[in-house]
Amino acid sequence: MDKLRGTTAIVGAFDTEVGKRPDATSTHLCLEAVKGAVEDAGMKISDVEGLITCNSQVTPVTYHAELIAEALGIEPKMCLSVSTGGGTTVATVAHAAASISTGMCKNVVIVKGDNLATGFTKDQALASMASVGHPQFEQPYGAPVPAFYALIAQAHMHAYGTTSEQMARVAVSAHYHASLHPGAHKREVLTVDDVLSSKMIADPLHLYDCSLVSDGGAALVMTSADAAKDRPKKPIYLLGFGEGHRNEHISQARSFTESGAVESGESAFKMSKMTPEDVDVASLYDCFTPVVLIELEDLGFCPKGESGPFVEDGSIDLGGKIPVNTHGGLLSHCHPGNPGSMFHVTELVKQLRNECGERQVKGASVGLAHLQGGILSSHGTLLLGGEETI
Amino acid sequence: MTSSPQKPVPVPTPDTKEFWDGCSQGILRIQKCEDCSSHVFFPTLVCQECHSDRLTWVSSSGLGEIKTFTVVHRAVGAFAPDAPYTIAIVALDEGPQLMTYIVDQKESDLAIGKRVAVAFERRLDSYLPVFKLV
Repeated sequence: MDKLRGTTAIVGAFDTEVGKRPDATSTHLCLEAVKGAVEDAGMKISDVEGLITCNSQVTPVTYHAELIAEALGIEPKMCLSVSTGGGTTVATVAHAAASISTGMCKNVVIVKGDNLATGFTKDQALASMASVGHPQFEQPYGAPVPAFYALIAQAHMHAYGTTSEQMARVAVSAHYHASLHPGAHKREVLTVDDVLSSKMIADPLHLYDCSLVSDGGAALVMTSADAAKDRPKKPIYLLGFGEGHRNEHISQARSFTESGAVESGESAFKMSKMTPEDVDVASLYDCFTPVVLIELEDLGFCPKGESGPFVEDGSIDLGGKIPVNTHGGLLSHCHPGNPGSMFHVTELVKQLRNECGERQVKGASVGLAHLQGGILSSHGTLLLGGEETI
Repeated sequence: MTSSPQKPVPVPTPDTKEFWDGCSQGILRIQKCEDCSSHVFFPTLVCQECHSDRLTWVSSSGLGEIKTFTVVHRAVGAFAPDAPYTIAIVALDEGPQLMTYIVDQKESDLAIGKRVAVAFERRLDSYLPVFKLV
């Protein structure tokens, strides 16, 4: 795996408009994203050799990548639909890098898009929420999704004295960043009090500890490091990746305060020959605020149990020690289900290209994305950097 | 058209029938490895500790402790009228963990580490394991 370091690069990245998109089906969002990313890469749709997608939750099909290929009018050498929830984005980048490095394809487009906000009927939305958890041993207890994460939050509070105020601080930071992003779904600034006075959903999580439900799509174009040099935009190289998979069901987790981010982070840092101190900007999966706290610890940005004071000190804000989710994340930029984590990576690409305007992290040259699927189930970590980092 | 929601009931499979039959009889049954003596839950074909396939069904003590919990204030579908209710992960004294309800307690009495004992709550023709503080 280590020999893949720096051999492939992201040469195109594109976000569709996000928020409420009643004009667009999930397929439409995917096509919009591919078109934008391919143009960003200075390529044509007919150049695409590999296509990796994840299925739509709103309109699932059996062969999703083939569906998108058909709609694009291309016949790729490789089609792959991946399913590891929010972690899918890391898995797809890793598989794209492997496919390019082994010569299966000269380039790969990764695209994910869905319309959870406007596409679901009420029955579909309820059925989708009720389908989380083991059908015999978890679903009969009727835990809404926030309750699964409340179990994690409660355990972290008990073990380390983490407070609701500290969790709220994660949402405050995300909303501030989104206020600087012209395309974000929710751009209003929040205070800790706003979070704490919002509705209690599952103790200790309030409404604003929970992420959004949005429509949106995004795509990436990857190619070899050699071919990347001919592309119009600054190539962003894949320096490292890793995965960690401890459990599928939260009731079977061996820890409620430590996750597979430990293993995925270790692998990604080892491959990239980097440490947390080298990272200038991070994108951390933020479906609920306590998840960011656990990720900060498990990836080594702060010692175990100290993420509460760490975020309270402003460490994850723009200008802080390690700015996190400068686009606003799932908490305030957008959360269209599985595609949500794509924006964590497209944001890093923009940061490392110095394209982020008001929310730019000055001189950012190394970015980390940690993304996860399920209830702390499927973890993936990516490290990306400009040419100077290879 | 919105269909009226119903709470899900467990639909046993050949692998889990022994467990649910036990619940109907008021017994919490889990699997035990004949090779390494580990207890296993969810029901499975191989021991998750030593990967032996020599698993047998035994009765759990039904005693354990709260590993973590949450009080659900906003529930969805058929569960909405039940809120607030308490969901917990309980670790049995034998080792395995399960998701469950904690019933018949004041919210202020709940805490991680508290001792609990199993009880069974009827839902249609099924009996779900739930726990009470002891």
